[in-house]
Amino acid sequence: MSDVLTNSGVGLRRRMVTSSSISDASTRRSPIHDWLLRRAPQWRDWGGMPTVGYFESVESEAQLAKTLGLCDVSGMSRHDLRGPDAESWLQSQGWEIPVALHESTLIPGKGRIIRLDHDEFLIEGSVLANIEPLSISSPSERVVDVFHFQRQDATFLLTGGRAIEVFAQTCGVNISKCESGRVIFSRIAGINASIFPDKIGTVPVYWISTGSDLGWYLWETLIEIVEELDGRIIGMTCLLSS
Amino acid sequence: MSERLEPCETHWIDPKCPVPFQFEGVSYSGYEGDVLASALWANGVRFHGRSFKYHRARGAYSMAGHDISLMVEDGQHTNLRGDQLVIRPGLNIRAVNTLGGLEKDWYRVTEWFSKLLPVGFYYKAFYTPKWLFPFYEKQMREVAGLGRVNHNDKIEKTPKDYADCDLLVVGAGPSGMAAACTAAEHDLSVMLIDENPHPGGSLGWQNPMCDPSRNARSEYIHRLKGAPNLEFRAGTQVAGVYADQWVALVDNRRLTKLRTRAMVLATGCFEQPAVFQNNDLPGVMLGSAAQRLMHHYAVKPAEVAVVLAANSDGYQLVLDLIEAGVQIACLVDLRRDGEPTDLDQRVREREVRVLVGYGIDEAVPQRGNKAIRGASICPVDDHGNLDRKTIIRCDCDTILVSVGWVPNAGLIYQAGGRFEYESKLEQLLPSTLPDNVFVSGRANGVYSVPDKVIDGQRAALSAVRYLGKYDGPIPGLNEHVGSPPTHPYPIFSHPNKKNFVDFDEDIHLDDFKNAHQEGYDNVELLKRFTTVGMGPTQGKLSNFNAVRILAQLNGQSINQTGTTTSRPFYNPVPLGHLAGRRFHPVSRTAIHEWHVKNQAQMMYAGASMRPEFYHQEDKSREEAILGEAVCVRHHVGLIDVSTLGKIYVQGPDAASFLEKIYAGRYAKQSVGKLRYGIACDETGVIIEDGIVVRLAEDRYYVTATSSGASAFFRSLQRWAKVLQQDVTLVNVTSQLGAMNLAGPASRELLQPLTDIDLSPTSFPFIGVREGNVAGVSAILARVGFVGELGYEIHVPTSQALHVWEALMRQGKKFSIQPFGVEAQRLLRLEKGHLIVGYDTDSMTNPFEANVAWAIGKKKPFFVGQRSVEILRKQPLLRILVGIRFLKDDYPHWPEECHLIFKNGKSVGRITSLSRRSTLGYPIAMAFLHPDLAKSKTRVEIRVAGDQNVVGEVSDMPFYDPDNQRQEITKKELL
Repeated sequence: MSDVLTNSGVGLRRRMVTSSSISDASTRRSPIHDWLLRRAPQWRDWGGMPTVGYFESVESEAQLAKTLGLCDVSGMSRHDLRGPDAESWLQSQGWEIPVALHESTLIPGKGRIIRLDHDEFLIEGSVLANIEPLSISSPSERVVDVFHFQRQDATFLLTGGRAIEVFAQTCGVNISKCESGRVIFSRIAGINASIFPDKIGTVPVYWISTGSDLGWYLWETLIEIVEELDGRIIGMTCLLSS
Repeated sequence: MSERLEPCETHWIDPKCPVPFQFEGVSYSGYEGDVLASALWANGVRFHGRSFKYHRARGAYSMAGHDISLMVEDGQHTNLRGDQLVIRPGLNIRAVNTLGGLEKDWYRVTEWFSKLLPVGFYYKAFYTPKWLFPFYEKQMREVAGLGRVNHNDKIEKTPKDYADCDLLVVGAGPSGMAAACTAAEHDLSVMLIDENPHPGGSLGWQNPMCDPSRNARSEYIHRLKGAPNLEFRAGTQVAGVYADQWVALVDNRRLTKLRTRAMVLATGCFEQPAVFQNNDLPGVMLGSAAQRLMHHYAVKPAEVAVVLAANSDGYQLVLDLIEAGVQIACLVDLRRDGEPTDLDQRVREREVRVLVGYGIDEAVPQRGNKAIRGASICPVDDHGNLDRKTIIRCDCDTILVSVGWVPNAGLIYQAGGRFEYESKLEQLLPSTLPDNVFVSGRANGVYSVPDKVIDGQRAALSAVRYLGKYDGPIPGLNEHVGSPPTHPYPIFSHPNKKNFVDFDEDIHLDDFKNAHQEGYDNVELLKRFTTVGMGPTQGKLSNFNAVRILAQLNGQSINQTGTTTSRPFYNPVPLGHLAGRRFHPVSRTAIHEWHVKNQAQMMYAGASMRPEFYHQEDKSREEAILGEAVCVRHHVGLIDVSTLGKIYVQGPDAASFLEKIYAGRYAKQSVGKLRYGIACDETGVIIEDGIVVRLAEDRYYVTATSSGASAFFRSLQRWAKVLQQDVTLVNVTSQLGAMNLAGPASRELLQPLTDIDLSPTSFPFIGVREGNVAGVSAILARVGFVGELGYEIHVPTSQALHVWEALMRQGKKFSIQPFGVEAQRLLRLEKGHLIVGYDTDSMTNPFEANVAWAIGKKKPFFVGQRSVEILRKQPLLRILVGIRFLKDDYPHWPEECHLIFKNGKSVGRITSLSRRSTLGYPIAMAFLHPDLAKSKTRVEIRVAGDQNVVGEVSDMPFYDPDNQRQEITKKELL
């Protein structure tokens, strides 16, 4: 299959950009790109999308990440895979498939697979790696009944021990009691979103994804609360060293 | 500051930290930890506020958050309660509900007319003559209410949050603390709530230095701090208990929505007033209020006091007062048998005059009624009345009342509990409780400190067992021994009728008697007629005395009389807390910032922001909109249509599924072609329209209206299940951005940017192609919504801005202009294209909307088909037509939904309208009676000022009826 969605991830290979300028070659933009631009960050390229490396200092942001930080990671690749042959196609890649609904399994060195339904999966990268565009075909070369597209969500990473307090103000689910490695679908600040509790090193982090059209709203809402709780926005460079 | 006592471990104040503040324009000083009432009392100020109705002088009465006569405002907040408001440096406050200040309050004249203002006088006095009611209403609104809202004040942002726990314990007194600590030992997450700033409850003010109190206080406060799974929230009220253990917690900063699995309600009791003449004046207060003043705030409550008692607590109060240096003029015991415990002996040993079987007839006021100077005391006769033949006069500056308690039952009622009156205690006790609700402590009829602790443990273990963490023994409830802690009827009539039952609303005893005489003999009716319990304290100090009065008037028991129930909120909650942080989701397209930077006037389209039009120098809104439309007609324009609903339908049954959803036919649709589709509900009403694109044999891509996309997708999911269709549905509305490049130059502009051959033969009207635009994968559809050669371009959201900017750059040489929603509405109106939800309503069927051509012939089934076929056979009542206006210089111009008249009879309504069009004359779309739908029929549209605007029915489309602009003939289109 080749269509507008599957081919949308241009240049997904992760590469570093040391300059603070945005590469002209980048065609992808985060839903909150202009918001971040006003804070004059140091940019890096991630998944073909200019992504904030850091604002003032990687070291201070690394400290902040342990207590309360908010990072835009919309550049992370997320692939939606669904249809009757979705599971068999994933198995054909040699990947471990999560059995239970909303559970996840790791793709070594790349990211994870999350089961969203009996025939629906989400494959997403991580801070350290991004998933290459998927080329969907069966081993026998017949056309498989799989619908696949690269998601264009707004994805934010809420980090640190006080992140739970942000959820307490925005989400009715008691996130602190949710298992790591299971995705939660709920409402955050009045909109549909998914939350994936995780850890980077020893720091608790939460991947929050919502539709790109609501990304700006969610970001502004979260950052208002984060800053009230003495947190700040951070770039992703500090997370790489965690 | 001469009235302070020596420091003690139970004090909440810090005498090392003076706090200056102002009250009614006068400067005072208190200490950190003081509330306003305690600080004023310590400064010798006893006159704190005015009552609601008669504006009588009032002072501290309960010191427990129920002193509504000491309500103040600081310019930003209003109706703050002085017995809860912690003073801070610079606090500058005034009493509410006065005209001209507290001392000179002009409204106090109402007391002179008090005999003319019994309860119910509003109902009887102001309904006639009818024409005077606006005057009455104005006057009542002027004097009604308490504090004033400052409309010019800044908005205070208050967060709202969620919390969860296994067990909620309300009340951090001895019972509540014991319950919380016991439950926390059983691996449960426990939350303990108390409205006071410190834990301990009555341990801190009721005989606090006795061994049981000291021991319990030190043990449990220590254990509270050491339990990691126990969260204690001080200064927090449980505002309400709702279904499914949903509990609202309110502190001075936020509202917390708590979900708990079980509750222990150790809410304690309220001490109750006695009813006698002038029982409301400054200087009359509850015994517990005096104890709070002494033990929490180090304030000596009186110089010379008379204590009215009906229980052991009154005797203990006397001992506490003597310890604080207060001279006791007399202890008046309402009971005929006096105090049965050794407290009687201890009091008498201190040479206190004890009058057993006596009551207070009147608090004798000082001149001006702002303080008292004595008490008139009479013996109680065999019927419980005062015998005024013998009056003993005692000089005093304070009368302290300790005659009984009622349970703080509000939350227990709200949680589903019910009460019955227990005569052994003369108190209501819980009779039935939900399985997960447990009551302990004084609210459960347990009064001694050791028993309260055991009862808290009992309640906790019961809760832990309910939660499955305990299966051992549970201690029993120790029954109360001795005389009841509450007097059954501490209420005495007086001819001068200032013996108040309800301090909130100034309702005295005779008001109840009069109401009862008028037939209000039911507790619910009595409440509504007298308004007892409807003031700010919600009857915490008055409801039960009202029930006692009614029971006696009816000659019934308390249980026969019944009680009123309690609803949230326990105490008033600031509206700002309820509003909390405002979550108003706003959807933005990927191109939003570009629009803003390029002078777009943004508008809400549902929950989405879209450009209404782009401001242009020296052009009005109307001129700018028309300019954008003209540019599309003559050059090329670009509009952001990313908010369109976008849905993929894939699978073996994709074609047959769409045949069932839409009224049209799609099974034989060619790959690479699009068709218009309308979808109906089961009643034949149009619910959606859009394009249906066939991308492959088993893969379709459909669009939906911006506001209806989510609902339509859910409908598709439901029908896929109901009809057992093998399809995969994907809502990609937020995954794809979309833009419409329209105008005669669009092809020439776009061709250099794409690898798709755009020539008319290769990519004709209603064709669809997949390829690249500006290096980005895209779906291109040749649509004609605005009636010009055009391409709808769908690209991944994250790359939409890149494509948009590339098109705008490329378009410069073609004089491209971005156009907004208003220009698009005008252009499609000229073309006669309807907008579902705008030109249709919740009753519109395809025949009325003039889109019956989109219904497939001889289809076996589609949703709503049965209804559509019935509607087909019925005569039309209205049809969508075009209206052309003959001139545009009317002073008032029609708007959408204005009615259309013919010969004075309403015959339809406008659905869309534009005063200025590229055609040079105003046009509209309207529902009209079919008999009038013939071209050139003249109609009148009723506009503002009852004026009429003349229009005539016109064929649609107004513009390009032969589709010449799309390079296609009618034959080809069909």
